[in-house]
Amino acid sequence: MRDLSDREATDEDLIAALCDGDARALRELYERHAPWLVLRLSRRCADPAIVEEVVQDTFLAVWRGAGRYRGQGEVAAWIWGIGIRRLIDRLRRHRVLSIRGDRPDPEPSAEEVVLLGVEHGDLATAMDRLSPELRAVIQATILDGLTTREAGHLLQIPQGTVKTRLMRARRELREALA
Amino acid sequence: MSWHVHEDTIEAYILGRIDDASAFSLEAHLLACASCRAAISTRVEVEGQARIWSGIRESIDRPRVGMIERALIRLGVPAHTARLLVVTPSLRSAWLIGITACLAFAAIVSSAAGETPLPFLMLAPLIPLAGVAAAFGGPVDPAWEIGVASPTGAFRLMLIRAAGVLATSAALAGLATIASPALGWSAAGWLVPSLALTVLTLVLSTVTTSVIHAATIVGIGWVAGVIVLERVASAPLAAFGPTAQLVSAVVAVGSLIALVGRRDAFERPAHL
Repeated sequence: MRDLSDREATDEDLIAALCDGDARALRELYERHAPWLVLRLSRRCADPAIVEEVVQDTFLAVWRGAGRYRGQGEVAAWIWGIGIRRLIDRLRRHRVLSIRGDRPDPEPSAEEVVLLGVEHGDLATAMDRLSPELRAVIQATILDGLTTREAGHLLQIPQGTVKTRLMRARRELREALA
Repeated sequence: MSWHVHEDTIEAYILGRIDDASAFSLEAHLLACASCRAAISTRVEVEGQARIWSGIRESIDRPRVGMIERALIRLGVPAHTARLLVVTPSLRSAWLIGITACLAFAAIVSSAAGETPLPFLMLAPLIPLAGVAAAFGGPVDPAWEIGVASPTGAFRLMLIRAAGVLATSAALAGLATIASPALGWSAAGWLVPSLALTVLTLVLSTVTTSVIHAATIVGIGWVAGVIVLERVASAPLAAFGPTAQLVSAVVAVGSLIALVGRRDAFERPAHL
């Protein structure tokens, strides 16, 4: 068992302590990461009860799967990855959605477009000009790092619609930032 | 990191009054910046935070239900009975692996000998016997103390666990029988003796100090009997012939009747 009292433990220290079964470390991680996770999930799911359930599931998954954290990247990003996928699973379970065998979208180049925009133009203005539907797709695919299929589950729209909206958003951004 | 989100932006984000572009930028930054995350943590007393935590706390304190236990419950075994079966030491994976290794070895030896499956037939009935003995082995059993204090009748507990052990080890020995075609049908000759020996052990345990003692006595008696019969009788495998099978069946039934007759003896702490 690691001693967490001497200095401010890093998130990585806390994850290591979780592997030793230290529930205090989980508490500490929860204090640090639950607030932003709740806020961020709430922006993607309007039902607070579902968000609560998902946050609880996420930290249980962190507790049980701490050994799977490979030490690559931020702990926060790892937690977010678990959280957003739990949210999608939770939303899928309660709604009948068409399940298609489509492969994941092989062209994620919208990200390049956005990164390009940061250098060449006023991104915020361009984003604000997008319709909310297009912004939601940008958020799910680029910011949250979801596949088009996962984004479809999150936004309750078919995967094909995600792809066409993403294309439209990309075109509009390109024009606005040109 | 030198750049941090402005306080007003954080405030707006918490209140949900923020444009999407700023929210995106803040969310992307948060993943990499502990101090901005801390700024959020100190500002919000997220509603339900304590409630979520108590839910987490409760879940991590609750023992996890294992795969086998879940499978048993799905098969219609009541949850409390499933737990009793799962904590039976002779049903744990180390035991099962040991049993499998023993049987495989015996089957190989018997097949290689090319004459009679005697080693296999002699060993196979002892396996459920050892399993049952270990299921009530006092100190061998991690759930022993709990069993002593259990409000379930000790006889019922004994029957549940003995049945679980018998079924599992018989299934394993059965697989070994099928897996060694060289042994032929005579290889199934251990089944009835096995049942007889196990029930006999349980009856005997009502007069000996522990199930382990009873199992040892019965086991030694069995091995000695088989060897003597093999020497004395004219035909090979006399201990597994039709007459011997009949005798085994009679012993099994007789022991079962005696067991039910002596069920009260199991309520004494010495036996669990």
